[in-house]
Amino acid sequence: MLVKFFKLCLFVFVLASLIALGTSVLCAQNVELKLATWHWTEPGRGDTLKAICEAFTKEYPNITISPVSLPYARYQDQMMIQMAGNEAPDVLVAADIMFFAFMNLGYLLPLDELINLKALEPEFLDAQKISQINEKTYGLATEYVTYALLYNETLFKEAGIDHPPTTPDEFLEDAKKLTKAPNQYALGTRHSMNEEGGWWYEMSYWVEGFGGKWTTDGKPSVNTPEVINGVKFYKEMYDANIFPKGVDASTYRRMFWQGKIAMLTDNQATFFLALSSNPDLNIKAAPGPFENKLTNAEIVFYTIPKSAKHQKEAAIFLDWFYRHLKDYGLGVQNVVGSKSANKIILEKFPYLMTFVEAPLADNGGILPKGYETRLPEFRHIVLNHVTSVLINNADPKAEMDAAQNELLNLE
Amino acid sequence: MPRKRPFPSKNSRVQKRIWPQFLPYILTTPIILFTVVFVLYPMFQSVIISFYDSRSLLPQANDYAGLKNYVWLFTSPSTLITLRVTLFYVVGTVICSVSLGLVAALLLNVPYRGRGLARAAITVPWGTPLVASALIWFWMFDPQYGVINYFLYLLHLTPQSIQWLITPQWALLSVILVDVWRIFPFGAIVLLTALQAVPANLYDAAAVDGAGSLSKFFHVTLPSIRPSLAITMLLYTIWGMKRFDTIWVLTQGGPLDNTSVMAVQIYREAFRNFRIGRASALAVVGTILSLIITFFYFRKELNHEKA
Repeated sequence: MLVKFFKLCLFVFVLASLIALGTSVLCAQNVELKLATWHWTEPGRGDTLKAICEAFTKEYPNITISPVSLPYARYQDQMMIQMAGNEAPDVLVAADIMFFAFMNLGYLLPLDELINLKALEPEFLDAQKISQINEKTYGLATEYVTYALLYNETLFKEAGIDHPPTTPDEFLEDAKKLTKAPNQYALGTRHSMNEEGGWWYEMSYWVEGFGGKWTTDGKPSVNTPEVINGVKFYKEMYDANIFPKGVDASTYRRMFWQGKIAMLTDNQATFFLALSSNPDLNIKAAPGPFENKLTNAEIVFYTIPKSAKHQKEAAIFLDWFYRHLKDYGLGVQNVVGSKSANKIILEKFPYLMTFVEAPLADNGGILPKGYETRLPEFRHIVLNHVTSVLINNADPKAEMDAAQNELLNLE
Repeated sequence: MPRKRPFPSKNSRVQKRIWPQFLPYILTTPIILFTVVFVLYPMFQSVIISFYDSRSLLPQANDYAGLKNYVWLFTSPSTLITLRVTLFYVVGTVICSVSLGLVAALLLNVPYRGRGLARAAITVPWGTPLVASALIWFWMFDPQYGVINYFLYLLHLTPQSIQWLITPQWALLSVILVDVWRIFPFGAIVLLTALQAVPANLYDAAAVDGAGSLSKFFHVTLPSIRPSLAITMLLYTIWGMKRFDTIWVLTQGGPLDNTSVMAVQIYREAFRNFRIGRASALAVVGTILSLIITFFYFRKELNHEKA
């Protein structure tokens, strides 16, 4: 009886092993690539990404793309934990801030030996050079969103203004005409620490417009006259009450497409979001009211983590993806994403050339050169002192000097 | 012939003696294992990591920094701000929550029509998902469209809208208000249970001695519910020291770090500044502070019981 039982157990064990072996052989031939990004659930961009992945699988039937979708707010933390635990996805999308953090921690693979980057060079965006460190390329810059002045032409005409402002003084003058609080404001902008990340884009936009740079030669330069002038101007806007205070970005963007705010300093995705929310909105884009017309950008990189399980297949996908971006118009909502896809959009909205033509500020504008991986600490210190200027009426020079000291003493 | 009753086997006698002795250990082993693996081990790891200065979540041997993180902690101006804010936040939350909870418990202890409904309704803040309720309060505090400013303006209590979450003098109070609203029902329920256990003859005796309502409250009610009051305050204190979610949703620690409590600072150091060693050092100090408070509480309770 016992012998029969053991024979049965042995038979089941052998059968299960054969099945497992067979399955693993089959699985080894079919590779499932995990692609992590917050784009999967974005209207427009998510659907386009899915279409691209399906097209890729048609050409490479043994490689399927499995989405790893996380909301943007949790994305960086989750990816850090996964990479630290060697459970990284095969392809990881990273915004510039995350990209530098991941790269500095040694989590990303250099692409030079996996992909023929020379062949892709003609399609490279200007921002591609930011991903090259020590002559190695750690990511492919597939798109970047830039900032410009979005304005409601109808509200401008009602206020008797016939063109968007071209200087800071003109901007302030127009803003006062456009403000009829509490029903109408001239501008929507982030201005508080509960939106620290987004506020940094806006603050950088104004400071760079005045010729300021957060760092010079890799060292903090937050107390130069140009930066202080940018901060002073921001304070002037704050005191003039031209924007609704305490209101977050989702609220003021809604107010913009409801026709209650006349101007935004925002990216092209907001332009399309506003139009999709209110197709009758008469909005245009213009360069910022500065002589240098500089803009900053959030750059999106496609990367391969070092702990990716299918690096070769991930490289095949990245190479194919980059070469076919323009065919699928992934840059449709982000005008500078694809040089060829731009044509369709620009025919319909020619003034969006503003986003394409605006020269990028140093290092993309929001990343202080030399402090890329320490951006969160850097911006927290700077914005804390700017908050003191705005709320406590502190002297801008004194506060920026204090910020400079703190940054120089950062360990 | 009567059926022979089988004599109890030696094995079953042994089982009856040994089994009850081991049963408690068998039943508690899973929870002990869980606590060791998911609570004590991570705490131990956190203590180890606090001696490393690394930007990675898994520090390497060459990242060892000794007491550097603790030196930073005790010399950094931001730590002083964090400790001050945490103290103010905890004290404010505890006092307000306990007071409100006690008032609610007293009101729910008195018989009246609809008391059952009131007892059920009071649990709503406690039962609402944390982040959802914080987001709703965020909207209520909105200077432009929020209902709080709307009603204050309607009642002529303020000439213009208050920026609740971006002005230093209001931000911490706003955060305290939200947390008090959320946690006072717990205190109300605990204290209500304690009130219902107070013997009625104590009040009768007090009435015979000529005690008024206030005297009865201070000399009968409060001493009787003292243990429940104390444990509620202890729990509120410990929860307050690790509060993160509400504050992060509302203010992210701003403005000017005026709402940057310990948990917010730990999160910022770990997941924004990538200073896992410093974050662990802060967490260790926070844990020690919580243990000290708990120690003093239990010592006081022990002395009180002895007395």
